[in-house]
Amino acid sequence: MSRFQKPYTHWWLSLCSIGLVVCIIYAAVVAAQTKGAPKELKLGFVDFFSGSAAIFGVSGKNAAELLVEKWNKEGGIKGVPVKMVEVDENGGPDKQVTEYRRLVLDEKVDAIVGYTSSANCLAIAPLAEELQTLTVVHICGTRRLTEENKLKYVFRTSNHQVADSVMAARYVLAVKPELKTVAGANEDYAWGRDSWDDFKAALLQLKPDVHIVGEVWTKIQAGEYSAEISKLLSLKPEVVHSTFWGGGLVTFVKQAAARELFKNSLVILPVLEQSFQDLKNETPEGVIALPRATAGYFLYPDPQSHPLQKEFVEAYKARFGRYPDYPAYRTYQAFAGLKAAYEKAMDQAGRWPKTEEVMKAFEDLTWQTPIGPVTMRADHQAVHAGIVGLSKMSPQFGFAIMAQLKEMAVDQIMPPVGIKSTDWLKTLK
Amino acid sequence: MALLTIVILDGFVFAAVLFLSVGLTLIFGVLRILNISHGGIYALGAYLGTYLALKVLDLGLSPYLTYVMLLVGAVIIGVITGPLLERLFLRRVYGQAEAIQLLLTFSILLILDDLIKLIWGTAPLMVSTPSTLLGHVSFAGITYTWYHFLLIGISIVFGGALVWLVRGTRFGKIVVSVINDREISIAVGINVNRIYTLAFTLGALCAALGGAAVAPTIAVAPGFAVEVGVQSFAVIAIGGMGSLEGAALGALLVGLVRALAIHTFPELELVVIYVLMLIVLMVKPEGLFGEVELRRI
Repeated sequence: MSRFQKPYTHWWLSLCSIGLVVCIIYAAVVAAQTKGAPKELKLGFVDFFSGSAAIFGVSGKNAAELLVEKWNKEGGIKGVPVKMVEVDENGGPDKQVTEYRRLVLDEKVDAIVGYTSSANCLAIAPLAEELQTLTVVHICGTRRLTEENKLKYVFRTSNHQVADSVMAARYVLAVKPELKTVAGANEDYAWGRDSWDDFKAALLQLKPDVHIVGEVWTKIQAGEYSAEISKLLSLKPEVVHSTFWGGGLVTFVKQAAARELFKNSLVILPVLEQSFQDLKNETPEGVIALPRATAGYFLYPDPQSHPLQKEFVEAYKARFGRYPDYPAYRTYQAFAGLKAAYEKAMDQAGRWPKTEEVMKAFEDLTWQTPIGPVTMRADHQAVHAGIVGLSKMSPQFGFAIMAQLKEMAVDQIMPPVGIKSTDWLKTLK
Repeated sequence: MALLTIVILDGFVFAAVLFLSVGLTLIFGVLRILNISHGGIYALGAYLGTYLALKVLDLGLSPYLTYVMLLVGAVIIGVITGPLLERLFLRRVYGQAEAIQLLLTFSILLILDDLIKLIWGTAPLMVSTPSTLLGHVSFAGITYTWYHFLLIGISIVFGGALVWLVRGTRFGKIVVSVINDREISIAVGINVNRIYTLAFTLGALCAALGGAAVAPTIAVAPGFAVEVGVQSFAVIAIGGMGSLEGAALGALLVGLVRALAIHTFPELELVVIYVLMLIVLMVKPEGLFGEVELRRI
């Protein structure tokens, strides 16, 4: 009895010790949180909220708002709440340059995330370097951004457009090993031209006897493709490659399906995943579809076995009534990458990091997203796996999903650091 | 021969799409206003028509009712937006500098674009039933939908009805007199303001009908009318501002030249329309059917 009674005589001492330890830990956490930390982390978010590309921008905006709200509920980034300033990307590169200056000089943002258009991301990159502002490019596809610029303040958090083209070429040859004739239908600007050139280069490198039987070029989001479809029908190619996107893509699919193009040719649409939910049951079966070279979509990896994917898909669907598409995932990649860079820099510095420290932490950083890990390379170009498959109508969802899905590894789809895509494409095997 | 057949068919289909936005030339002819907001009304007609057609399908009613719904949607948009825009905004800028008119109608276009997004969001709206219901047919080995031919038919009837309205009816004669001399028209007792409202409403109705007729072949998405709007301006510049025959001929020329380019030199698809416009304007600055305007001193 006395053996058990003895500690109770000093119970107040134990209580004081525990209290002291709690106070020390609390003080340490508070000190770590507040040491040099700003009142808030102000992030600019630039994407299309008007015009035909708003279809993409609104997905990105939804994902960004969802993530920022979640972080702020959880206490922000290392205790610092995040505030987002949204800017419409519509209006052309000149307007974006002005808006960029406004965000940095007037709004005094700490970093800027965004830019879907290749023209816009190329226009603001030099300005980001000049104004020394950390800029995370989330969707813009042109390879020129990271291959023709030496970037210090600009990071791109997803594969560039060469990966889309190489994946399409590899997959079509896996589906049709005896392929002989191909035609292209693309929009007549940087995105369409570069994508088609890279697809041709990859395909001809992998199978030199393929014959390009014709090309059609339309204006961006032309909305009327009757004559182009007639041309594609008259050429009778085995495969048609088209990088149409958004409303233009939906119109093209609709007009081409009504005229049986999909019955006559195998069609590759690298941006089709984004339109699955808009096309509802009108996506033809067996089209080669990609969410561009993104590592997954709302069903891959399986949300049931991947908690982060489950949480994102369910939260997004519950709030916006749609499943997240690839612009939503790429926006997630950008914001999650920036957060991971801040956290890594803070852990390294032991206080709130300077922009240069965040940039240093961003290089060679690998961070998790709902669809797998993303790695930032030294050239500020992130890389990750990509998925491709064939469209298949799903009665469960009421729109098409991806069947015969194939995941391709980074080294299969993206050129290594320091090697230009055009040179790398000549070495494809 | 096969190529020629395809080029002619494709040319007519595109010409029909362009001609359906001909209300533009009517408004210019009467009000002397270059109405940039025409594209917004065209888009609204397409949106409401598609929305109502989708509702009919959701309710499990006859798919043929979708044609009626497209028409109903267009009429609702035409009769609401026409008087509203004319009385509230355009009436204030008649006779003012063209820059002010352009800025005003461009502002209306932007407002209508945002209104569409507020109502229907940014995801494309689409109904294919009216287009696929009629089936398809092959010419020279190329598949066309019957709806394409229906579009050509609609545009011919549309153009004919407008010509009849302007030339063959009392209303048309009054409109022509207002165009030619506003003061004299007022002096002889014509209610010019009412004619302006009616003419603008007719133009708006044309725009909405054009949008609704084309809607089943496209994805109705934000900004979709911009491209057609730009090409419509090229068409009326070629045909002559304010001339219905000119608009018809302009649309046909643009359609045929574009189809020929796509089938022979696809790289030139975008430039041929504007080269054609340039040539016509160099040879006949007022357009093929345009009249030289006398300046009053």
